[in-house]
Amino acid sequence: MDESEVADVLRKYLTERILDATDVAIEPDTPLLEWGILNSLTTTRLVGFVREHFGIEIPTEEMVGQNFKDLRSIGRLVAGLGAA
Amino acid sequence: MSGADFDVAVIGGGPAGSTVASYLAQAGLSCAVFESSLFPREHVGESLIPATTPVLSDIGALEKVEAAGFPKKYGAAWTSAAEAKIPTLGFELSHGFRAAEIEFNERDQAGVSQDYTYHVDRGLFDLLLLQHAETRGAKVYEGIRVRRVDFGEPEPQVFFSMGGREMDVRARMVVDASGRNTFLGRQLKLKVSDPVFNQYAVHTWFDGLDRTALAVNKEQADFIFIHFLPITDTWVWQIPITDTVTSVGVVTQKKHFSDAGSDWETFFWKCVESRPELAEALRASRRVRPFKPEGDYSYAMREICGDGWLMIGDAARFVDPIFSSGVSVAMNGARIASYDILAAAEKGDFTKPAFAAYEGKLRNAVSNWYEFISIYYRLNILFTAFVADPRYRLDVLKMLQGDVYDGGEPAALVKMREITRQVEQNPDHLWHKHLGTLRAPSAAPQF
Repeated sequence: MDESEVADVLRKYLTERILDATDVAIEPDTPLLEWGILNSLTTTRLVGFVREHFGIEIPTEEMVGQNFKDLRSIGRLVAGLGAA
Repeated sequence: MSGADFDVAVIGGGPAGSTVASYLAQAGLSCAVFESSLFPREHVGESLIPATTPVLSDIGALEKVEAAGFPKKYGAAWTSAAEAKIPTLGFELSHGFRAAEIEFNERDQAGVSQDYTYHVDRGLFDLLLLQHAETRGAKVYEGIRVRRVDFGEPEPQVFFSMGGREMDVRARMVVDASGRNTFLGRQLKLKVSDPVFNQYAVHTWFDGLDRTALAVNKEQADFIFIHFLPITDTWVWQIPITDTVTSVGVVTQKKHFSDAGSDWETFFWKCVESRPELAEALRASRRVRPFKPEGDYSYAMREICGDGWLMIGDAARFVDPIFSSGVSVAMNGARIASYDILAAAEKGDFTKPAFAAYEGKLRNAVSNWYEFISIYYRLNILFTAFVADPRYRLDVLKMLQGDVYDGGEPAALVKMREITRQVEQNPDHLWHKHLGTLRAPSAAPQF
C-alpha cells in the first residue's frame, strides 16, 4: 500500500470518526495539528485505528509533530512502517 | 515465661489496627488495641479497592461489610475537560477520549470472588472493623491515647493515661497503626517528608448530588469518579457514600492551596468552577459537612520495623489518595505483618530480622504504588489513553485492583515510564505539552 492509498483511508477515518462531519475537505497538506483536528487524544485514536486497520504499530517515539502535521506526513510514516 | 500483659499492643484502631488485631487474636495471641478517639469518628479515604476483599474474608468480616449495605463499587472512571472544541473550525470533537472507565470484573484477581468492592462511610466502616476485632478476642480500649513507648527493655512498655492516671502495659511487641498521626515515626524520629509529592486536599459531603452529571455511561454513576481539572496537577474525587450522599474532594499542590490562605470554601469552589458542569451539579445539591483540609500527607519512614515494633498502614507510609490505595495498603500490610508476628511469637523472637518478609513485601508494594502515582501525575490526562489502550488496560487494572504485593514491577509501569521519558525528552512530541508538572523521582534526583 502506498502513501496516497493510506492517506485516503485516513482521510475517510478523520472525516467520519473524528470530525463528525462530511462537509469538511481535508487536503493532503491541511495542517491537522495547527487546526486542532489532531490533538493528543484524537491522535491516540488515530494510532489505534492504524493498528486495527493496517496492523501497523506506530512507535511512541514516532508520535511527533513532524510525522503528524498533515495527511501526507502521516501517509508517509505509515507506508514506511508497513514496508519495513 | 514472659511477664508481658499482652503479646501485642496495637496503637490505633483504624482499618490497619483492627485488621492486624483480628488476624492475631483469631490465631490465639493476646492483643490490646489503643484507640485515642471514640468511634464512630469521621475519616477521609472512603473508597476501597478489590485487594481489601480477601483480607475482609480472612478475618471473617466480609459478610458484615456486605450486610452493612455500603454502596458497591464496580469500577473507576475518569473525566477531563480536554479540548472539547476545535476553535478554528468550530467543530465539536467526538467525546470518546475525554473520559475513560474501567470495571473490576474485566480481570480475574486471586482470592476475589466478587466483582465489586465498596465505598464506605469511614465512621461506620472503621467502627464495624474495630468491633469485629473485639469479637475475635482483641481487647479494645477506646478514648485512650498512648503517650509513649519505652523500648529500654526487650518487652516494650506502653504508657497511656486512663481516668486521669498514668498507666502502662507491657507487651512482647508494639504495632504502630496510628495512621497519619505517625506515632512511632515521630517518637523515633524516622519520618521523612516526600521530596516530590506535596499535595493537599479539601473535602466535604454533598446530599442530592446528581452523580450522572459528568458520567458518559449513566449506569456507571456509582463508580468512583476522578475529574481532572484544567488547573495543573489538580483533581476532584467523587465517591458515593449513601444513595444520596456523595463525598467530594479537591486534591491539589500545596502552592495552590497556600495561595488560598485558609479560606477552604472559596478555594474549593474556585477549583470546581474550572469544570462548569461539575460546579453546577454541586451547587444544585446541599453540603452536609464542613469543608475539611488534609495536608502534609506525603511522607516516608527511614525504617518501618525494629526490635519489638513495626508500623503498618498510614503510620508507615502515605503518598497520595489518587488510586484509593490507603485502606488496602493498611489491611494488606496488616495481613502480611501478622504472618511475621505469628512466626515471631512462635519462636519467641521479636527482633527486627523477624519482620524481614513484611518489610520486603511492603517495600515492593509501596514502590509500585509510588511509581504508578508518580507516572500518573506526570502523564496527567494522557493516563486515560493507557486505560483505553487494550495493550495496557489489564495491567493498569491489576494495579487499580491493588494487586501489587507479589511479583516484580508491573509491565504497564515499565511501559508507561518508557513512554513518559520519550515524551519528556522530545518537545515536538504530540503529548509533550500535556504532561503534568510533577516529576517522577526517576526523572529528577530526590536530594
